[in-house]
Amino acid sequence: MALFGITDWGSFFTDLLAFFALYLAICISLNLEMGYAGIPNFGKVLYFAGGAAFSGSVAIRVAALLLNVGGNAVGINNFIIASQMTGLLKDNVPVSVVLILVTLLVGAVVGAALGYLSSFPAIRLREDYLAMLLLGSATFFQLFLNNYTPIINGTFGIGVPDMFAWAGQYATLAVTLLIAAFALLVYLYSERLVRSPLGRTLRAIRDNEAASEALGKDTVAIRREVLIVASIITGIAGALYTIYTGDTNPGIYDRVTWTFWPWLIVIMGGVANNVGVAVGSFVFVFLLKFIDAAKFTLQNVLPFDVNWLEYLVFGSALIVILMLRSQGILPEKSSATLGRQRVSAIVDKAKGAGAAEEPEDGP
Amino acid sequence: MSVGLTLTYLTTKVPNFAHGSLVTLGAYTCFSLLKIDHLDPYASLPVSFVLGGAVAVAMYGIVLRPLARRGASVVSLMIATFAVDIVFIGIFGIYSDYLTSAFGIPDAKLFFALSSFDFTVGGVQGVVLVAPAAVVAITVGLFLALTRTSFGIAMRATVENPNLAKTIGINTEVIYLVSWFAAGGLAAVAGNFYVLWQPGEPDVGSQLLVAMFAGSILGGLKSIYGALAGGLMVGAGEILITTFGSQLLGSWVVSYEPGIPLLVMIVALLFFPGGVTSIDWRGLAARMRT
Repeated sequence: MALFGITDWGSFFTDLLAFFALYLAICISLNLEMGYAGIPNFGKVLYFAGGAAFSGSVAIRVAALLLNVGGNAVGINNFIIASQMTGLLKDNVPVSVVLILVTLLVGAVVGAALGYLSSFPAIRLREDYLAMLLLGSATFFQLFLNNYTPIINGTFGIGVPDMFAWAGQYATLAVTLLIAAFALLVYLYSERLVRSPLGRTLRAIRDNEAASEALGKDTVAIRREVLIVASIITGIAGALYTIYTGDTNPGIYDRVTWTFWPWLIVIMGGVANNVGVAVGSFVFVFLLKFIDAAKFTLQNVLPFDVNWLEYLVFGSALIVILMLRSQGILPEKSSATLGRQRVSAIVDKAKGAGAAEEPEDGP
Repeated sequence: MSVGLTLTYLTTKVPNFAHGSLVTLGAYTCFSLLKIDHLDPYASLPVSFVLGGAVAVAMYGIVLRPLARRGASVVSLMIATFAVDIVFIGIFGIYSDYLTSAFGIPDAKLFFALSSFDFTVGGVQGVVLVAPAAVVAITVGLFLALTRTSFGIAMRATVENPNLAKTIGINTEVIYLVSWFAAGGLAAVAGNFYVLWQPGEPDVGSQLLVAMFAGSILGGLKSIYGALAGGLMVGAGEILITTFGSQLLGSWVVSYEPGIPLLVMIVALLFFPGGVTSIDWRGLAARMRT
């Protein structure tokens, strides 16, 4: 059924799921930073680009080593070499799995390193200065990748061998499931984290830094940890994106796609509410992919490039949300407390224990 | 450009991420007036100024003021200006496509520097002479306005302490609107000059954002004169460092030219976060002597 120009519903939904999962992971990490720890990270694209570029670069070099493919893997013949590797990987599941693990690991390490670096300004600067600095750093990193060819061959970008070639026609589905599994893991981790004492400490720091310091919380160390964890998640998301698309180039790391859209999602879904972020991711990715898929139909009606419509629609959507419902679709909930019966049970138990011990404690 | 950014920061205490798009506005005003009405690029300067100012005031009045009134945090104001920037990029994109389809201008989406429409004085392009002259004129004008007119003094009072200014009967809202108008106008004028020298596209201003921030921070976000000095230093630094750097370290330095504002910004934030105007020069000189 060719509704709105979409003919292949199977691949439409796979694509939808992959992007939903990617954005979910990134937005959960942004929510950890911005929503719970109060670090306004305007440079999300930095960690994503780091993870995507370095993991792709390392993966193809490791592949060259393991598969004995000669030549400069990130040079001018890169795409030929990459497709040659894909052919070899088709019947070589162990090497494929090793490559996937290497890619993800590199994404995580690069993310952690960049997160550690940006934690220096993040714990010192005020939010507006920090926003300018991180935004600038992300732009600079893109410039660096554009010009420093040994990593991903500058502006040309590199192709990465298809590590799921062994899955045959289900290759895309397999990557998508991997991304989905990762996003689920991130989601569960984040839910556990924000319900833990650490999660409550984070909110305390966000709401009143001086008070939490007075209560003996090391705000600097905790913020640094959150930033690193969030950057690791974003770095891995970048690596997954490289695996998913099969190539990577500096042009795709723009601040609208990987900084602004995640911010939009988190604010739309609900700051400091993971369920809200999940809902937000879904709504956003569905609209994005729908506009994307319906492009060819719309193109005949509209006198301009449909891409601009995305900017216009989502940009104004955010302004409207900020004005009318700044708490998002699902607002932040106060931290879950124990039920009344459970509390009184604990109190009774403590009283009982206290009563039993009292005679011994007495003089 | 940095002057306008600092002006808006002073009044609303928020870095305006959409400032780049006001520059783009000037660029496209110049471009379309030239291509459609065959207007001289310099004749479009006043149009750019008024348009840029009007759009900036609209942005302040429609988006930022209601948000600030509702007690939105600095972060939500920042993301709001970011959103406005995205909307602007979309509008300019649509506008450039419209130019192409309605007037048959094929290069609206990415046009070359309009240097061929500029006049030349002894082989030197006019904009090289006019732009610095304009900067000097703006500086002198701003200085006179801020120190010699009662409105300028009211403006400084509002910046220093809005509540106190209100109590003595200054209409701070008018002051804010005028500052935003001036800031938007200056940004658009800068954009108008910029396309005489460099190529333009729908997000040309947004790409310059980092350089503008660097200028403002280096100058110190609290001082208008500082922003002028900062902007000059960033511009000059970019060219000087690339020229000398490429001689010392090799030609690869040139491709990193746009990264220099960032470098400047980091150094400024690390060593004198208050900007050049906050440095106690006499104290520094005294320390040097001992």
